[in-house]
Amino acid sequence: MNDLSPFKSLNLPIDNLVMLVFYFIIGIYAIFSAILYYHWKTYGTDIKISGLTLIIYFITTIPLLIVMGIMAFIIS
Amino acid sequence: MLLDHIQLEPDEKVLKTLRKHWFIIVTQLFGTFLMLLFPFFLLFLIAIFPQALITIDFSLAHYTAIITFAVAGWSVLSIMAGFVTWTNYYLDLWIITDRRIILVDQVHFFNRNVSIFRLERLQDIEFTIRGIIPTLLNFGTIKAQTAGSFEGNFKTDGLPDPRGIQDIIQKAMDHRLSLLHSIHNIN
Repeated sequence: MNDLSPFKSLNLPIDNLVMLVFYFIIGIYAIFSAILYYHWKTYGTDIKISGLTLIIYFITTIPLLIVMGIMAFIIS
Repeated sequence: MLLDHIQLEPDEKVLKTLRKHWFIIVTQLFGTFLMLLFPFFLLFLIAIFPQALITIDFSLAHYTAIITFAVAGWSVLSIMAGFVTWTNYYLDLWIITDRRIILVDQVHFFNRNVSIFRLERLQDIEFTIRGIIPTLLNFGTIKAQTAGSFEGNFKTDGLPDPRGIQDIIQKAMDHRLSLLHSIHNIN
């Protein structure tokens, strides 16, 4: 079967690249989340808004990270 | 919480706490929303014009996992950008008390300015509403000059109901000055 993958023709280790990007995004996400949490806990004026912001942040991002993780393991 | 960090003076009353107009955050978040939609728009274009990609032997079906990975990664980064915008908007704050105006300016995560202006030092407060949308939605710029050279002047854009804010500050200033004047006369 012909493999038409442009990545194969470039001889790019796509599985390694995907895992690298995944770990990079996880790292950025962890640092960013800690900073965001600190800011809202320290400088927020309304505990309800701060809590709601953090809940929405984690609800919207964690499923996407799980999807990324699953896809990264499928590709590698 | 912020109000635990800002030490109010004994008997100091908070008259109003305000943030920029909702239109400001809506326009800023709209940019993030477009950023979030960008990969879907790109995929849509690829799906409706597949013949344009024949030359590079690209087929969406071959790369479902990689495309899903990339879209999820892009979405995470877009959402993070959206939360930066929201944080900078919400943590930007004006607190008008019966003695001071406290301006909290959250420029970005690692740049936060807190300025305090005493009402008795304020000299001139002016507001500007410029443009069709600001006029219709009633938001604008408030600018004030202070007597003390070390405090400087302040200017904030996108504040809701600038006329009302000017009125509140003016009344608080007059009240504060008359109070200080009566204390001075008693002494």
